[in-house]
Amino acid sequence: MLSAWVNYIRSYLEIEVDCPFHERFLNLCSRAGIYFWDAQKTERGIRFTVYRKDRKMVEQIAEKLALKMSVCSETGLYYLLKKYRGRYAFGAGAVAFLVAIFVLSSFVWSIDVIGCETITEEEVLYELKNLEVIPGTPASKIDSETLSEELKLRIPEISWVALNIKGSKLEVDLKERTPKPEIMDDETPSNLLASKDGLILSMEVASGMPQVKPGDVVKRGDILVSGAVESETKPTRYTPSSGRVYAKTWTKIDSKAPAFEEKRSYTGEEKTRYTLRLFDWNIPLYFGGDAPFEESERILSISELKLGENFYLPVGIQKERYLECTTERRELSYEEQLAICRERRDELFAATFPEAEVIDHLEETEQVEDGLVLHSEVVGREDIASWSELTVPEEPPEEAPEQ
Amino acid sequence: MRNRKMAVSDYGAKLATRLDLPCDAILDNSHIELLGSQEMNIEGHKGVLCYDETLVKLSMGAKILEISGRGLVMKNLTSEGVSVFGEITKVEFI
Repeated sequence: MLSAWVNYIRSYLEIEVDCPFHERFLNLCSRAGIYFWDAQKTERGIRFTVYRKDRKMVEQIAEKLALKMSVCSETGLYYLLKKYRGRYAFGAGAVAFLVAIFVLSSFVWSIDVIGCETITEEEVLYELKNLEVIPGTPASKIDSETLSEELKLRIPEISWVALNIKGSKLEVDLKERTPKPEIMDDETPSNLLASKDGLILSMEVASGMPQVKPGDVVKRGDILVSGAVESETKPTRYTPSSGRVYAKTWTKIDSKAPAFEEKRSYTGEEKTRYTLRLFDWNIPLYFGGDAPFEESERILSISELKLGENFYLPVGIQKERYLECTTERRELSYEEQLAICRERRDELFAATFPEAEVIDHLEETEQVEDGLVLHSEVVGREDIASWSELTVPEEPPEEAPEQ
Repeated sequence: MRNRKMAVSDYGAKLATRLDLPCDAILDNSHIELLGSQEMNIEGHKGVLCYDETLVKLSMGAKILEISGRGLVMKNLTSEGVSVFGEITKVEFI
């Protein structure tokens, strides 16, 4: 492959020499230091390929031996340039193309953000815009170090960021900060309070003084485990409380299901529209601005023009596919509505109390104008202990002994 | 004269064996490499005697190397070496 390119740049030609004693001719050429290849015997003599620089020498040998020499083909850069020597406009076009490529490659035409988890790409792009980094900014103006520091200050969730320019693309590679873990305070005196009303089922107290026992009914805010450990012989000690208190709880949840269901179906009709994107401008390549169908779904895809892998040009084509669809309205039966209500209730309960275990449901339905409402009371088993700091009463100053 | 030349070559061969050197590095020997039956590289030839699609004869000094085959093409012919491509069926020193 490389030698093919070298040969093309050096330019070569295929020569045919009419001679009955072609071996002698070949020996003379090799002794003269002429490098040639692809020597093939023909009916009249021999055909071979030599570099352009050796052409004169071959001609001299052929003349010396009084042989007829003809050039079969000429290939290479020299011959190409020779062919287009008089075409100034072509040359100017080629030069203009190279200049345009050089000029365009010195700008950033697209920005890619990699590594977003909680923060959005738009947020990063917005801050970059505030820092005057937008598609079209000269690459020389982008100071990666300063910008990455500035970006970290503006978006505190970012712990590390690198701005790499790849061709005409700016790649923003970032890592988000890991949230600081909640450190359990195991020295501050504390109580465990009931986070919900319930009936105590079981208790696993690691430290502290239990204030309730299984079978007790507690209200929200009641002390379950106290950090104040009282003793008859010693003064009251204040310790941190820890443990789990499982209780039977009743949670009221209302869920609703609609009376009708809307189902979309495609008719099979579709229309495609193209828009030319040039820098920030959108040039429609169609007539009429309205949506082509009364009811439709729009699928948008953008293809950017690029040279090679990373060199994006500020030109692209936006393709919009409109798929015609119709909406059918269907009345839901009572069972279907109830199933939807139950599904929604279970989803809501699982999302609100992820660690709770469902024991039973108490249900009551109500038919409303636009659907069905299910009033449920979910009976569950869950840990209701919640940590609360205990304020230690100040000890009264000891009375000075009477003198 | 011929005997003297032979004697020099004998001494060279002995020297190469004693010093554990390849013969072609010390003597004026040719170096022939055959890659399968499709390519043959010859270094140190003294000229082309016959060139045809079925037969290539190369002068190797004292002997002649005869390569027979089908569709033989000579590539990269220089004063030092030559590559022969094609379907080589027979290689012979005569």
